[in-house]
Amino acid sequence: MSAVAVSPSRVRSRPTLLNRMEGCCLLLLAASMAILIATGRYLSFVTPRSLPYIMFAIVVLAVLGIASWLGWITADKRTLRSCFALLVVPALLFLLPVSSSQSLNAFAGSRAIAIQTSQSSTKLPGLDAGNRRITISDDDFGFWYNQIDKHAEEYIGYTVVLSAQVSTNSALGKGQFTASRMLMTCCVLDMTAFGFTVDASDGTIPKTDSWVQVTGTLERGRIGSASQGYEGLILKASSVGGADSATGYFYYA
Amino acid sequence: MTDVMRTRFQFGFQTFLLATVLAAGIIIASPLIDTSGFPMTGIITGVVGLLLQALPFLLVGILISSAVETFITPAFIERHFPKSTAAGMLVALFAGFCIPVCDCATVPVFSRLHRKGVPLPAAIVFLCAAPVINPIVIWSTIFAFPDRPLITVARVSFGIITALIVGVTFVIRPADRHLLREDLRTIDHAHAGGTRHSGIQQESAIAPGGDVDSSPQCASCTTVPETTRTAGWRTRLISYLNHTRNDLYTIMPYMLVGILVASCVRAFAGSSAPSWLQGYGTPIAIVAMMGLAFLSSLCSSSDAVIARSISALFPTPALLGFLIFGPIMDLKNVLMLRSMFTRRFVWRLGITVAITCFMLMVALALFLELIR
Repeated sequence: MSAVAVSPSRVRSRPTLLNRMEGCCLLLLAASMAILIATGRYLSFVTPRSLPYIMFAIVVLAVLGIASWLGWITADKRTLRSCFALLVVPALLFLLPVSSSQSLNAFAGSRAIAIQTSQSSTKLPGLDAGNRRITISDDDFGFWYNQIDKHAEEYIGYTVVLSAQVSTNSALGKGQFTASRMLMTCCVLDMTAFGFTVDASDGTIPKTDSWVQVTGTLERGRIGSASQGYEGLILKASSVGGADSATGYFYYA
Repeated sequence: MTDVMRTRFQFGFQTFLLATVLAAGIIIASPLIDTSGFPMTGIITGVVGLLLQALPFLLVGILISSAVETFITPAFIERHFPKSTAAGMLVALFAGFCIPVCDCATVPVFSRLHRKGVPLPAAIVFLCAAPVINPIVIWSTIFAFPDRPLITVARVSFGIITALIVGVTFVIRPADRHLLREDLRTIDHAHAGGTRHSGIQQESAIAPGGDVDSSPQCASCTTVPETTRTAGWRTRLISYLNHTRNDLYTIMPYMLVGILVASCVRAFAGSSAPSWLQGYGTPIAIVAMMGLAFLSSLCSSSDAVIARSISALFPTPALLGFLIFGPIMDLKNVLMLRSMFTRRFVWRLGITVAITCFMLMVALALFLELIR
């Protein structure tokens, strides 16, 4: 068991090599996190909401590192092993470039787009109230999803134009797919697709993960099959065509 | 022979360098490992994301917990704790809200409260409630579930209900008189009229057979003698830094294992819930998540972030089972409790918490099914 009590004589003692090494490892971990922030790479793993917390962690680790370098922290023979497993390995994970294509949607990348929830209702982007038409730009997808979800009745009958990625799942009915973008709530592990259920007029579903531009009318309808489905908001497509891919993932600001 | 092997395989500077190069090699080679079908890059990406998210909350928890341990004397807590059962249970809940200590720090406080004559049910309410409802835990849960604030409300509410039910079971059917291990009772007796040492120090220092305890426990439970508490600011600051660092080294391995498990689960299971874990499969999901919480022994200040990462795979009651049962009763806490209390008491406490938590989550699942 490690003793925490420190006698005044211990405070005055010279730092050992172990102290110096531990100090270096703690500072290395702090520096690796700082580099992630400086390069913006942290956005591939967490949302910008995490920034102040990560900065706080950097400061704490740096203080501990300096204290250890000065010999204020007691090191023993297990210190090296702990330093390797708990400080060096995480630092290497932060520092070394790892392709995230396996777990992140390739188009989500490291660009984070905030879903603004407090936008003034008089200046909604892309809204043409006179013609009952909403043209959703790539970066407003999250805002409009949120807005339509919260005020569904207000937008029933509107024509919506949007670009999104095609995703499907077993809960959808025949001829239905989701026009989706990626949402990160907390970190990369909870990255998930979200979007509008599209009812393709000709029943043809585009290739999964392809990018499409959908023009359709918002209606109440059945999502899923007659026996397994539920009533919800559907984008009844009048046209589905190809579109350029958009970058970035959404997060709640 | 053992000594020779220990000397030969000691983790020295050369091993440190070699292990570092090896770890770097594995990380760099992860795209190559992917080609074999093992999702190495996905797992590493998940680990980095979770680590970046969970480490700050772990550090906040450790800093505050260490401050409580270093600067607030046990005598202060003992003085302000009522000796009646009902009032004690209420104060225990209030203390749980106010004292931001992680779950491993509550075990020694619980032991200390019991030894100082606080009614056992009240001490148990503190043990069960504090790691679930303290401000750091609430904060981290809100952060992890910004789109589902009811998860935080449910976690706190069910945490309180669980704590009270477990406490009440010890009112209805009181525990044996001697809960402390034989060796600790002897120490208590020996020190009863003599110089006061930190009870916590004695509790955690002694392991079965009189050896120095090497069980995995929070360094909060280690030595912070009264002399340190009354020493000058410099000594206290250094003691605080040592305490913080020791806590970090003690708790972080559990967090890393939990992060690795969560990342592997997500990498292999995908992002959508298996249908058999919904509906009638929910009790299985609850048991699975409670089991995962028990084995992973995560710190309650950062477990919400890890739960979030696998929230798409499990129904809400199972998720809450993970968030409530884990902080109260996990492998690390059981080992810590066993180093201080009799096997019989630890078994009873563990089973009572598990059954209470499971039944509450099943009731919640039924309720959610009804209102769907």
